[in-house]
Amino acid sequence: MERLLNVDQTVLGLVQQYPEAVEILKDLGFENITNPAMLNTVGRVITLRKGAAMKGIALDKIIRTFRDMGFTVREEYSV
Amino acid sequence: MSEMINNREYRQKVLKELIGELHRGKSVEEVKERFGELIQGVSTTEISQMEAALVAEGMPVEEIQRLCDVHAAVFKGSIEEIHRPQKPEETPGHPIHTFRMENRAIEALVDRIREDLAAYNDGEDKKTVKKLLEGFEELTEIEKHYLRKENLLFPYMEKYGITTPPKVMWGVDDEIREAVKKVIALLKSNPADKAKVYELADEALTKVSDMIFKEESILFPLVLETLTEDEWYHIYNESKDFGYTLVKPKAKWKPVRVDVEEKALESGEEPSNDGYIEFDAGIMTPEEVNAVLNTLPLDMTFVDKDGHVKYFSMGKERIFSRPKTVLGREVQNCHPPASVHVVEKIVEDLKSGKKDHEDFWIRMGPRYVFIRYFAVRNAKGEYLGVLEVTQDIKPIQEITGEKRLATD
Repeated sequence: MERLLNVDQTVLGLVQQYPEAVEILKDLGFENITNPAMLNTVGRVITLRKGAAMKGIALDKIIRTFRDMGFTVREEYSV
Repeated sequence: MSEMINNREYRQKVLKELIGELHRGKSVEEVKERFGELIQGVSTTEISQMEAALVAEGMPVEEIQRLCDVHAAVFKGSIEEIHRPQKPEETPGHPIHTFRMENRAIEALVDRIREDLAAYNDGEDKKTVKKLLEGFEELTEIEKHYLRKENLLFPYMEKYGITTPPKVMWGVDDEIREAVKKVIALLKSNPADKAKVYELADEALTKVSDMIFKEESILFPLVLETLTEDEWYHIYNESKDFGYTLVKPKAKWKPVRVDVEEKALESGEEPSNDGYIEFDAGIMTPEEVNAVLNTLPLDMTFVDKDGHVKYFSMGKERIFSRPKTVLGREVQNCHPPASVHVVEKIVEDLKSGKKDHEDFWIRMGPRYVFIRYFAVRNAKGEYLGVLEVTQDIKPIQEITGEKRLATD
């Protein structure tokens, strides 16, 4: 089944859909993702794009990593 | 009916023509009169609907915006009449509206300070130091924004179990306060240490900007989906005591509520302040009814058929406190947005007759609370509203054996 990454989805929504994304995101620098108190509150409203901006993690790097892990990322998100 | 639709179509057509005329360079003054005629007796809702329909047809939004000037001219400047905000937080005066307005002002100030900082870095003299210092002193105003956030928003978040994000954010607020203070102290004592001033100032400004981003993308969405309108009203009332940063709210904010008494009178219900009320079996005075309902060993709240809270009993120990301000509120507004759909579903099922009641039981500290929602119908079976009955059933559950004698 195709796994689709949408960077404008909330972080919580993303990891609920793809639990394996937790590890990927943690390694990318989203260390709070393993803290349920943060994931269930902040993660509920923040999108991956905004979270990346906040953490100073390049969106391109995130997209590349997810592609390497076999996710599909639509081109429009790369900008 | 068809006449109405045709009318609407006709108005739509004229509206399009007017926009066309504006596009071709006619002045607001010239089309004002025709627009005024067109919208005579038409509700503002319909006007915005017409505009939305034009957008849906493919008319660019900028074209529609030309109409705003005409609205303004016709309605003596009150565009808000038509472009009524769709979300409560977009209403001027709503605490979030105020927070966002402050953030825009802080952003402008940060931009200005950054220019001063660049000038200082290029060639420092007394004037640039003074300007930079003034900028940072103005930035200390941010304290009021943070205080309101920490003392008014955070406690409510904690009440709903959101504890970690406020804690983290509070820590960063403190860092910002400290950073701004340090820059000011340095500018006062040793403004010649350019590299140091630049580094600290740049760091402080970046932190301020980052915090705005965090507020807008995490904090505000989170509280907006969590707090009830009554809680926002409370926050609104307390805000004045803390003060505002750089800008003040321009309007008073009032949650939407209905005057239950006025509504009853309008629908032809007569007040019966004296005399008797006839029941299916017997009669009582209003005073007796009130006292009897307050004596019942349970709490009641009645929501009328339109969803407005109309009455609640005032027993000695209410399980869920109900401020009188809840009267006339739509029942949806008294619940956190996240649970509103549950409430709406219950009301809908009771109203439609799908269910006659819906029960819940929850543990609340020492109490075991039984919450029941009943559909209230008259003899003809017509729906009158929902009655919520809550009761602590723990003492009742604990009853065993028999008690045949009165207590001394």
